[in-house]
Amino acid sequence: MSELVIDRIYKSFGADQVLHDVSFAAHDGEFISILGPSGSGKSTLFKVIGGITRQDAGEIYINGERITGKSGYISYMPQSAALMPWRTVLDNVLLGQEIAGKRDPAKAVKMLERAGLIGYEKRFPHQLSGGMKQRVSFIRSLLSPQTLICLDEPFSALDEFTRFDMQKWLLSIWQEYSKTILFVTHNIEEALFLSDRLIILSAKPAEIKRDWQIPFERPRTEQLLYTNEFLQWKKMVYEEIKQG
Amino acid sequence: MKTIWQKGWGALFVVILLFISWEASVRIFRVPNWLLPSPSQIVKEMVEGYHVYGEHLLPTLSLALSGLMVGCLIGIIIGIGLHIVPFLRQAFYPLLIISQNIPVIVLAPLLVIWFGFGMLPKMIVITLVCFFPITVSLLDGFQHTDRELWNYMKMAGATRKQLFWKLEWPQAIPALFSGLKISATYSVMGAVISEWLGAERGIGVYMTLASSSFRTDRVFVAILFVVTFSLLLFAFIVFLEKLVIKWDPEKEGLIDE
Repeated sequence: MSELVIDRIYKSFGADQVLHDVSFAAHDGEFISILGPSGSGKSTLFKVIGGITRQDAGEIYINGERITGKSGYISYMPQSAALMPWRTVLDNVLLGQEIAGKRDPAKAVKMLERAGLIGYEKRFPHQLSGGMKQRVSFIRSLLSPQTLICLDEPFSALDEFTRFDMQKWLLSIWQEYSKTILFVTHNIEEALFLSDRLIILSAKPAEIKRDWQIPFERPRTEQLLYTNEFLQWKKMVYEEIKQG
Repeated sequence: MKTIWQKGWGALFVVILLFISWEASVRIFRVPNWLLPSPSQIVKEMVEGYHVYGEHLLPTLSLALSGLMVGCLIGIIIGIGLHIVPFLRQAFYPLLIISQNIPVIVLAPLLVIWFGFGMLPKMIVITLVCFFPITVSLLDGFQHTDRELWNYMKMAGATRKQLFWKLEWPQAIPALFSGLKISATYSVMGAVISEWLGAERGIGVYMTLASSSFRTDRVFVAILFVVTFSLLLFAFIVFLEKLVIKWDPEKEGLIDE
């Protein structure tokens, strides 16, 4: 359905080179984490894919169609939940559909129910906790017609307990919908636990250092975190990042 | 009601104290009535003089209200126009500020020369007073659009029109209301000034007649009504604000999991 191809992207802001020859392909329904040090241009990469920042060179394709510089092909979930405070939870999750032109409230209510947010449809975002807001934000992305979701460190503002709950919740809900996910993070454990593939970016200018397939079987549970294999991986990724 | 009392008792206390010392000073120093009437004399005039000022109240209130509405409309249109077209903003913003530096009292006679004694010059005076706070606060509200929401909507393929009506406009509504509150209180003052230009009835007319015949107590009655009307309009805007803004723009995260 939706295969994303990123082809040799370069981007500089003045003399400051941010992205250097970044290429990879994401297959349908794949969960890819992009790991890199802070300020390594991960967010810039998303803005380039989303068509709101113009790259200096390189092309982007979805299903063979060239979408370089065009917007409307991805659903973006920023670091903060970025909900509209004047809209109720239900109206917030319908925003992506509204932009595309059609609202489907029945489906939205069903999804909110699955996310444990039933009874909150008429509430406003300021009445929700941080984790709940992130869930609403993610449901908004899932309900959007785009099949590619880009998540920009969505759980970085949450405390450790909520964060782990959210990771498990994200996996369970992602497995039901065939969406391709690009997940930016600087948390190694999070990246390993969630993804099919792990892309490691270097410090600025960001280049792809490693593109690893993560072999752990799904569905993944908490037990995975304590296996020897997981710890080995964690060590390997850490060593890789440390080399800079 | 309890919170109003808890917050307001200090102000009430100061006002009562002020009136008591005013009353006492006027009595002790035997200040003549035409120079400074005592509060009790003003209240007496208010009760007994209704047949004099009664007919002047409604014209001013309706003038202020209609002027406020025109001013709002023009303020909102100018605000949106300057926001949507950045070139207009650069070109007209200095002009907007200049328009506020010309004292209305100086401009008013000119308006009479140009437009006569009808409704038009009066409306222009009130509009000039009212549109500015609305335009400025609206522009300010547009400036503070959430970047992440903007990015989200852009990447999802939102058009300029969608960005405006779904994001920028609702986001600017709290700012619009702070402008409206200022304009509402200004509108009564604008109406009184415009009545000085020449009107048959109105608090402005009553005030002019009173001061030229040294009925200082009546001038104070006029002031009292200007203040009351301003507060009424202010309260009306606050009521509208509560009705429209159901979300809380200040507080975030009331529940914790």
